[in-house]
Amino acid sequence: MRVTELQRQRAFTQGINDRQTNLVRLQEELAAGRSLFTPSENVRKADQALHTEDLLAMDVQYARNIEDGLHWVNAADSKLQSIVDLMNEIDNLALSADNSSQNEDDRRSTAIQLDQKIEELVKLVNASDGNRYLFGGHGTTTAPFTVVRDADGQIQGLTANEDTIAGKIYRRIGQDEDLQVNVTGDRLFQPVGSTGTDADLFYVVTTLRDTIGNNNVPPEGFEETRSNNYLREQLSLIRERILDQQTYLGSVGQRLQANQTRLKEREIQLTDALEQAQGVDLTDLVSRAAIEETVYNALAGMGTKLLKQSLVDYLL
Amino acid sequence: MSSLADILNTGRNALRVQQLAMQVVGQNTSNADTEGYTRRRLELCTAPPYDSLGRWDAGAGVDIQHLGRIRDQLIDEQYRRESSQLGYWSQRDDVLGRVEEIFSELGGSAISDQLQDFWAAWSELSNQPEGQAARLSLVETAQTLTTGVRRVYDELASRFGTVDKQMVDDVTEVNAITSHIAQLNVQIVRAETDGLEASDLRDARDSALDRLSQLINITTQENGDGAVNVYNGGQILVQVDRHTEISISAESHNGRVSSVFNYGSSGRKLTLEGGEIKALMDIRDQDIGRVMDDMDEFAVNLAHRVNDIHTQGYGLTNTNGIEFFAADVTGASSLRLSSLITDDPSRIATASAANAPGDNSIALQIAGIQNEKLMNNGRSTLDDYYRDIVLQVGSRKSYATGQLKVEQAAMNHLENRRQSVSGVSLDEEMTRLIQVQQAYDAAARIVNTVDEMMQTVLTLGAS
Repeated sequence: MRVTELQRQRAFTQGINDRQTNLVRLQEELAAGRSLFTPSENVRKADQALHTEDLLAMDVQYARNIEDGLHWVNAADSKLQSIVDLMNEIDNLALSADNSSQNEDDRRSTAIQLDQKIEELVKLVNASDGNRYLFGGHGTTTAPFTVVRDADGQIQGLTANEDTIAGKIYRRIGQDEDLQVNVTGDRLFQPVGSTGTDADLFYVVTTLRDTIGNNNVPPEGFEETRSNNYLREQLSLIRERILDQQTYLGSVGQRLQANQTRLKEREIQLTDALEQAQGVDLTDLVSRAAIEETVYNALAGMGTKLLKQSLVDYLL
Repeated sequence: MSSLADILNTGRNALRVQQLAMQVVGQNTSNADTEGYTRRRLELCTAPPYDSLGRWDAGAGVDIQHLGRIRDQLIDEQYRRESSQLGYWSQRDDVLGRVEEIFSELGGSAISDQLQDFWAAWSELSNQPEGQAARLSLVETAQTLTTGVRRVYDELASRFGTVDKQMVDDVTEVNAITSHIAQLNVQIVRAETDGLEASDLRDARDSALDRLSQLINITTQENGDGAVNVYNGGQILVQVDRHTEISISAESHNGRVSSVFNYGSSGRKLTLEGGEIKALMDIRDQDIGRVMDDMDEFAVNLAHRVNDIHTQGYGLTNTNGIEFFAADVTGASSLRLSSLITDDPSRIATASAANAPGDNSIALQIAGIQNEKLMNNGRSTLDDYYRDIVLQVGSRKSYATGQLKVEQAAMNHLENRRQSVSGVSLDEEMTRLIQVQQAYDAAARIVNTVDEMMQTVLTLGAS
């Protein structure tokens, strides 16, 4: 086969170009820390990388939702614990008032203490976390319970915003996985429609206060059976109800934490999958770069030596 | 028997022929690296004897049999067939690469990231439905997405226009080339009929045919007089001194516009099977056109689904029936937010009832669209659908790159074979140079010797 000048030039140029292209590519991979720049380079790996990136982004948001949910749950749980503690204190005061050693004055004094506890209780049931009321259902921007006071300013009861108080608030913690993170004031303190009944915490505690203040005699208009002991029993039932909701919050917290852990594990798997799809093996990259450089030098050296030589050199 | 004058003439002829041979060596050497140059060869023959009736005639020396190019037509035909394929895949690889760059996925800040941010912003709003911060953030994120979608679509449209213009330019070039070939045919036939050397004209015509074969698939047929006829499929583009112009027009079938190549004014159509123009046509009508349609589908479904849910919900202003995206979104180019939303993000609906600022049910529903299989008859989510658009472009580009490599290897092989036959080897020319120089020296010696012999004869006469 005849070999011509253009063939030699082209072969040399092609070789140099190929090597330089490879070297530039290796430099790009090294600089970017990834081996995939456009989907066309490897469609299957690009699909894997893009899908994995989407999943990672979703998980980041689920993790943020879980963080927010945990914050909500912990804040609500903390306030409920304070409420339960306060209810225990109210119960203890009521128990002491039931003691025959207390006289009318003592009981009046106990009633005054109870009144202060009720004031504290009102603050707790209208507790907020930041700018959101914790037990108001969907009514997070206005206090869920409105205090009703008599002419002397004494609390007579609370009325709930029944339009919103039962509203459930969810957090998305996974694909198609929503979890209720709030407990609502109606299920805790005053079921919708129960105002002024035994199921109404505020009715029970204000009646208890008034009964004790009236020397353990139910105020006028109240049934005889609504004694101190009866009301304490009702208080205990409401406390059980609140404890049930606390238990629910506990289970929600556990589920959120479990999902948090699962997401962290998944993040490791997904990051690994992403690395496999588009990551670089530094050792392999550096080795390949060294080989390419050696080949480039050899080609350039040999090429320049061979290209400039022809029979012309021997004619003169 | 020849006279001394005949021998002198033989020497003179030899000098003339070797001088021409030296000129050929010079021409070849000068064009050793000229693209499109075909090496020349001077073929010599024995000159006919001066006196053909003479009994002892040694001959009249050397003469020129043929001066011409060394070319293998079979390789040329193969080369041009492959050239059309190379032109096709090269153009597809190039343009699809540019289309793929428009999406710039895998590099961050692309639409798939913006889409993820959009869903995340709705999810974030569901965590803080009563606040303004998450609403402002959602508006900003949604505007980034809509701007991104419109940018991609505009760039696709711009690429569509560029391809369209390039196709028209290429058709103009085809007509210019076929016209040029027809002119060269005339010049070659005239020169060769007059017994002149037309290698340079033939080189020019071969270069024109090579370029034409990159643009469209052609076959050629050389006539006995040196003219070349050029065909595309069954249509003749150049017939000796005449060429037929082609033109491009658009036809619409089932709502899709496609390109048609008209053959002259005959009403007949050209069927392109290769070349850059065919690639541009396919890219414009099938690739970019389809991607733009897919982007429209994506944008419309995104806007409609979000709006469907959004209009049912209530914002902090306690009004409902408000669209999140503009109501008149008919495609990717018109994807934008409703001005009611951008003017007052409090109107973003998060609740399913009025006066329920903590209700995040609508925000959660909209965030949940991310996992709804809305596209491809319930087989794909919006994220999947967009990813498929990107991957389909990548897949087509990948296939084009693979085919291009195959064609490049085939073309390199053919180019080598062609060069091997028609290219200039300096070593060969230098060898020829020595030969010619020696032959020239020897012929000059003969002339000198005959001159001396004549002097001897003249001296005989004088004494």
